[in-house]
Amino acid sequence: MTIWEGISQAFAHLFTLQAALGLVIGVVGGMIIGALPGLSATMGIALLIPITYGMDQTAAILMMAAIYTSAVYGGSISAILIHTPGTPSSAATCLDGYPMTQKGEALHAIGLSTTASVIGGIISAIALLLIAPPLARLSLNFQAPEYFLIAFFGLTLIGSLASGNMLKGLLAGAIGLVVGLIGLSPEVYARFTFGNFKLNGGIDLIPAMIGLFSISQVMVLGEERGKHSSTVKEEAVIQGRFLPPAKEFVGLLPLILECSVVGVFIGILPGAGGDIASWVGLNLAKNQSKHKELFGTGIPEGVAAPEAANNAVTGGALIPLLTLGIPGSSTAAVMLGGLTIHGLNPGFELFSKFAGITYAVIIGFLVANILMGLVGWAAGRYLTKVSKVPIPILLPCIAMLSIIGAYATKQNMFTVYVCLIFGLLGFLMRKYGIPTAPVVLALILGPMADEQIYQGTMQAAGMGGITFFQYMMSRPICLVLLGLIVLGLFSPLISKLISKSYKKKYGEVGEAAEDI
Amino acid sequence: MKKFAALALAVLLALSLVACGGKKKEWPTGDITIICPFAAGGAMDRSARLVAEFLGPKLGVNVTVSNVEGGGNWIGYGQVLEAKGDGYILGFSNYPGQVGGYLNPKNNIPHTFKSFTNVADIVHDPGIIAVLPDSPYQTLGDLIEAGKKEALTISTGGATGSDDDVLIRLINQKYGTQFVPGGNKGDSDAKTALFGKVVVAQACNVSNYYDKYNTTGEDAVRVLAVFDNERSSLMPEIATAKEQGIDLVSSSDRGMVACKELDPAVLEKIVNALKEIEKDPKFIETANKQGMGIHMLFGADFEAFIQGVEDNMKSLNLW
Amino acid sequence: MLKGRIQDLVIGVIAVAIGIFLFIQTKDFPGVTQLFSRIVLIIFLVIGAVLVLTSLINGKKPGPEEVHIKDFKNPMLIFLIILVYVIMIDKIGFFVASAVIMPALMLFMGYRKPIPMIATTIGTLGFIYFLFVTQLHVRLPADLLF
Repeated sequence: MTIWEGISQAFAHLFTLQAALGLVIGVVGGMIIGALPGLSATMGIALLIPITYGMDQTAAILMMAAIYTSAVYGGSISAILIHTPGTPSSAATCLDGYPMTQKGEALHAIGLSTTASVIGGIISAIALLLIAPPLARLSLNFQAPEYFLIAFFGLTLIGSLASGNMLKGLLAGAIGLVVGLIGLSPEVYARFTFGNFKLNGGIDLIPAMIGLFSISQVMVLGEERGKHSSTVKEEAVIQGRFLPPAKEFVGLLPLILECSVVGVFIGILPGAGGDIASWVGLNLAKNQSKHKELFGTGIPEGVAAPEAANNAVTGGALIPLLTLGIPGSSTAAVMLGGLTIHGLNPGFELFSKFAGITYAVIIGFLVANILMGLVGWAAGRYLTKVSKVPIPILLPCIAMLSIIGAYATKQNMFTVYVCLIFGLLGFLMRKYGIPTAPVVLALILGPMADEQIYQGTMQAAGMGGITFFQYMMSRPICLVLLGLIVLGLFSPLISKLISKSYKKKYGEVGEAAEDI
Repeated sequence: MKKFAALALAVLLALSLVACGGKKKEWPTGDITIICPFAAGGAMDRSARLVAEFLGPKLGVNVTVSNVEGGGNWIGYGQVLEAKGDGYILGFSNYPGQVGGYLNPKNNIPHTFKSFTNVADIVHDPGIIAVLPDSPYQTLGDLIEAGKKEALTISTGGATGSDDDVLIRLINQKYGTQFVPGGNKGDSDAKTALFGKVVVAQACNVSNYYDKYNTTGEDAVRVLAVFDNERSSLMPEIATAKEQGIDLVSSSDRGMVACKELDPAVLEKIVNALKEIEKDPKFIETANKQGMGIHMLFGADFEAFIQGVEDNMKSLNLW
Repeated sequence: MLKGRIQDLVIGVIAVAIGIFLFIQTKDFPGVTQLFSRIVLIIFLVIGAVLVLTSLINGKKPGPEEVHIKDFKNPMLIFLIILVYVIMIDKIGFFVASAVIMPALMLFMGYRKPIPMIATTIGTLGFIYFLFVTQLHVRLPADLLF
């Protein structure tokens, strides 16, 4: 079955009323779900699976895929407007998105996010369509040692992500690592639970993130008590247009494409998802920027990079899911359940026996990304009005949405109390100059590194009793990754040394010249 | 006067009849919630939703599933235990997961399976061991012989205490093999390890490969044995471990539980409804399409089964 | 300037103290669990120690801005109100608690116009009801009204 045969079969499945409905509901519903703090794409799909029961297979799976990409995009909307990541993959977007809103450039920010997300999603859809099988096989080469190094690499990003005081950024990362230890270890040993079984599951990412970003934000807004100002600094006009000006777009395009490719690749890896990709994208943007110090003040790169990366993950995550039945992200894992319920068992059968349906879904997914952009464009102007809502009205709404978001993830009140604790912690951190973003990144990567060391050690034991380290060193991809890590760690140092000696040489000449 | 008295009496009688009728109204009069302490979309959740889907029409009310996660599943189980005994809140549990949870002393769980009313075991997913088609191990015996000679890692769908993990430890205990349980974080991780060839086999369940054991695609596997008393209807060609001389059974089971004080009349109604559902071909067919084997055990039979699971786990001295 | 550096010192000391406390707890941890936990805690301790050292040593360089505790009054009050909110949700139910606390927060922030307050509260709660209760079938904490 060639791709073209599959595509031609796809159209029969795609041009039905149900498929169209599934597409539209998926895109719009996904955006709303993504925008609401605490409701992520994963939850959205899981909760909407029962609604798909009566639908035909194509429509059902298409709706799930549409929700996925749309929710990841939707998360950026609340990240930009109210400094509350709608989904974990939008946490990175807060850092420059919200400052842009404060400067009155909310529409511009949303436009950038939309453009980047659409491009990222389309690129991932094309990858899914054309090169899924080889990419899936490639992903099998990534095992525990590689994932450990990827987590380690991600953790080294923390240093560069902390704009300003690097030491405090590292402290935040360390806090995240320590928090990540709480709960059952991979060896099923309860750590730091102090007898409270409710902590056995550890600290969940989403409630902690809502606390650190959103509840702390509510507390910060509380400082405006008695003043009737709005969120936006300049009360009057919302500057900027939705579509980025041509010059800016062309300037950003290489970065967006780069982040998209990286995003697809991260999506393919079963152990990593959009939440990691967005940080990697942001880091890429920073490394390649000529004005690193502007990150965090509200610059376009800070929004475009993470958003391109996180949407590119969506199609990428579907690649191993559809070809091997191994989900490329936690959201894809829920879709696995959805596929099973609809009698579509992932694997190479999907591309042969069910090719018509599969290709219909892929093409539909491509269309969903475009539709998502259109909806964003249409709604953008109205959405930015949120930034004009007076703070006394906005604050309780953010609080209420955050609380219910924290509750909805696990449906118990303990989670909400945990969220509040992180809210207080986040507020204190912000006041004392400790950035909160690294905590989130460490909370994702710490447990991942922990898991992978454990699994890797078990695997190494069965390979003739070697150690994890030896196992790691025997794998070529690991050696490449190690090289990248070393390079990444030492390159700022090397470039500093080079520029110092450069200055020394020409500094002398300059002084000599003055003497004359 | 008499007419009035007669009328009043008639009205009183009518009212009291209505009131009595109201009190005697049959359970259930409102929606029922099944608490599933697992994430939506996963195998446990899908099993719970399948049961809910069929139980609703049988009882004439909406049965919904509520995913209460956290605390290693025990926040959800806790909610089930604390519910009132009127039958509007039920629970879904899995074995040996629940047992492993409370046997581990560090988890601080002050309950055992006896703290629940154990309504019924519903989904029975026998354990299997799968290898890649190009693996040198053609039979379970081959694998076990190899395991006696050197330490080999078999990937599992969970860490210590999960059914896959327990199976491997039982094999080690009984046959003196040196298999290392992979301690992977889920079936997907275990599958990645198998297909990435960093482990020699994967211990999982029928539901994982019921559609891939007899195909020839790139994602096909060879199933060495099914660890059950009889062959699985979903994999009829694969011999059981017992048939091959390895006397071990292992499975992942999912069943319905409730609080200890569940009204016996309500319990009886639920059990009867489940018994009818078990005979419904559409239910079996829908379950099988997802790889779920149905084999219901009720009341004392169910508890005897769980006791067996508990004894097995205790014998392994995991903690 | 000096006060700012004292703040950093305190943060560092707290970090080191917590790190040592937790490290002692790792005594009984098994195998890989212990290894990984200790690596993490050592990283934490080192960073905390460096923070302590830099705040002591850097005499000449300017330190961070001092943070005035009195700036915390309003945010902490907001936090308390939200805490009460969560407890109310647990005991009375989500919709009733929200209907009470949301206007309370608005009033706290100094807002006085009744119509936008009521409209926002009813509007957002209505949306939540529609989305969570009717569409997604999520069980919200036990309610008086719903």
